Amino acid sequence: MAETTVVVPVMGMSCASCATSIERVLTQVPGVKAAAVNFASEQASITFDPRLTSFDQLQRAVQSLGYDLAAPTSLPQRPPLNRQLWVAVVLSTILVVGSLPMMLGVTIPGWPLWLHHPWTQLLLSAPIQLWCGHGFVRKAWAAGRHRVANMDTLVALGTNVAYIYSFFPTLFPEFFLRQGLPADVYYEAAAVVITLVLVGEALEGRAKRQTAAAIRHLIGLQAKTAVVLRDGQEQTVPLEQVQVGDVLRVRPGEKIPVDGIVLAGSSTVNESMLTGESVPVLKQVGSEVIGATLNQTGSLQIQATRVGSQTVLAQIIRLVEQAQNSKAPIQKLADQITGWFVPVVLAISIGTFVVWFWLLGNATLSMVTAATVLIIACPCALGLATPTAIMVGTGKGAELGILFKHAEALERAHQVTTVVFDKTGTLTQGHPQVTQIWSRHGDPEKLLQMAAAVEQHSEHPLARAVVEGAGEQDLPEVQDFRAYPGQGVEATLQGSRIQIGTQAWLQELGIATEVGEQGLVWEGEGQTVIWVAWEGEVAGLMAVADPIKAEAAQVVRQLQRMGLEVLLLTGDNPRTAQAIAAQAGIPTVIAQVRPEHKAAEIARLQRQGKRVAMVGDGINDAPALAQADIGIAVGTGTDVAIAASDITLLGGDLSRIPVALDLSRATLANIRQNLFFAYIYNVVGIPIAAGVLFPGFGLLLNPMVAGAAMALSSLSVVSNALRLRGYRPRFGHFGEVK
Amino acid sequence: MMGLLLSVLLMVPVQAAESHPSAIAFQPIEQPLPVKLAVTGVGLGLMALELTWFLKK
Repeated sequence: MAETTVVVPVMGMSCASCATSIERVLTQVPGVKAAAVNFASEQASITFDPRLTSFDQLQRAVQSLGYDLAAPTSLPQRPPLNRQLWVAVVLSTILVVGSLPMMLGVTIPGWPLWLHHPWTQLLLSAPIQLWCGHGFVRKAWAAGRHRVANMDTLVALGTNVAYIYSFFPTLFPEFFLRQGLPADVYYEAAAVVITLVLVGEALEGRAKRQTAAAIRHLIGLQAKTAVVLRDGQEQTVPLEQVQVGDVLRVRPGEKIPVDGIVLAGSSTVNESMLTGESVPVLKQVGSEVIGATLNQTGSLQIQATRVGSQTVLAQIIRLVEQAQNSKAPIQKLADQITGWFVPVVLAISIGTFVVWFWLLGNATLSMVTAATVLIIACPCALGLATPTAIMVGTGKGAELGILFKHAEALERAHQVTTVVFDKTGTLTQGHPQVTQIWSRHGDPEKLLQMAAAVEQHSEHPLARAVVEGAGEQDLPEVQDFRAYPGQGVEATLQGSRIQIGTQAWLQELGIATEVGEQGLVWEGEGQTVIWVAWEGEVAGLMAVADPIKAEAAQVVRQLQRMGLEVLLLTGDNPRTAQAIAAQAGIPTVIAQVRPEHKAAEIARLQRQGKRVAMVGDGINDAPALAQADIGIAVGTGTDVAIAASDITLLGGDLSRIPVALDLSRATLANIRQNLFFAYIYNVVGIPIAAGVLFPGFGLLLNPMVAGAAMALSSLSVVSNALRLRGYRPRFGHFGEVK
Repeated sequence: MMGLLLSVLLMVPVQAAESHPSAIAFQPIEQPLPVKLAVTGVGLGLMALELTWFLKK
């Protein structure tokens, strides 16, 4: 294997510009094919060729920017509350307390005014400026060397300009006093800004970790141990020691440790934690069980079929992580803006200094406004607006049994105008049964046995229905079996050629089908008719019924209420398709479409300007799922269908389709709100910080207030994204899903 | 809503901040033209330098 992909925690990021610059440096390392850094999840997904580079080289490249890559783990670790933050909080509090009478414009008898003395302020703020705030300077310098400017650049420059400027009035107060000006210093402002930014980062980090709560919840579902039967003895072993083929005992009330098949016993199993299905599922000998689900009533003996990273739960976790670390197209604009945001703010800050110096000639005012512009500007909020909402939205989807493959799927789903359903196994229950047989020679049992002998070699759901219909009887051997997808199968049985399939196919083969009037009646009832031809003439017909899912009609109504067009796309004949569509309330049917033509039908709808979501479950749906703007695979479907889809529904409940589309709309609305907050904050905040209100109103922003506003802006964006955690579907039984 | 709240937050403390530092610190001062020109020149130079360094790659 030439390429490998690692997902690793990134440490030291303070804003979206950091993520952009790390991405750029990583992609410049020879051998790196792709790198995506997510500021919200604090993780980097790097695809590289191990023959050309190594993880150590990647780590060194990131370290040269002032950040670090940790060894691959599933989640970023929570950093300890550091001493720098506490020291900054304590010293800043002393500084603010010392200045309180001056801030309030009052005289308080006995107040320790010596705390407000410039030299005392210099001493008290020095540890904050030189130690607590050193990280900003270090990272700003490292980024600057790589021609990158970020939030650290702004904080480091803003606070140091104020701090270093203050040396001048401290050392030469008479210079100011001679001009009738007070020798004001800004040590306290610089220190408080650093403290507020550190506090804001700590709170923001805490909120961002909550956006990854869904992943932690999924990981927490795993059982810690398993009871393995070895040599007739029960042994409790750690989950990691369970191997494929091990026989496990699961008692009532215990979690099923890994995926497996029931060897003995029967029980009901609560699968709601993974599939969202609130009704427990009966498991008997031969049933498949999923790891992390809860065994309820009986004792089960199961054989492990998938362990470790191969289990359904592990795959779900991978899919959610992959989606959370991907980038939505809407983020590209924010990424572009954050790229030039800081350099432009630096220019505005210098311009502010120059303009005020020209207008008033007052260096103090010029310095204060220039520094405040640097401090108030916040690229973080812009960078956090999209990824935080995507993380919470995909996490919420996973809780509801809806897996978005990537952020783009979550974004595109809200644009869907048309929902196209496949029939068998998607709209219907997918367990077709032979209900009626007509034999030309008056021997329906014989006809069923012949058909089953051929169909046992096919994997089509209708073929399974025929074989099941034949029951336990011995089936004769057939030769020269061939399958024609979407048409039928043929084989040689007892020296005679037998064809089983659609009426249209038999007609194509030149076989007269006028004898099958009975088929029209069955098709009108929504049943699928299988034609059996023996030695070039029709030998009989079989009706196969596959009832529609109980929730199908309600889901179709819901989608229509959401303003969406709903269609049925099937390979079945028009009469059966119309009958099924009528039961589900679907007005438009595209029938008799071969599997290879389904994708072309989707493309035709797209050419009409429709944004199409295709819902399917089988291998034959995969091309159509891939062609659609949004492919939705129902969870009872095949791996191929799931791989070709953008959204996977666990458990096959169609009620998740409107929920998935509605969740997409809610997430996009949240992203738009976040982007609005972030843009409006900077658009309003920067001019006020530059002093536009000073000439007219005499109002000037204190740098400390700017620092607080900056910290609050990112926090407000993350908090707004977290509101999505409270998303409740407005229909179906999903209000009750845990 | 949060954007508006932030705007209000930004505005309210502005008035409170007037007394600290004292408003007199921000009174106009007559500066010689050469000083103003020098400050402007240095400022524009710095702007050009930083924009070139960070944006022109």
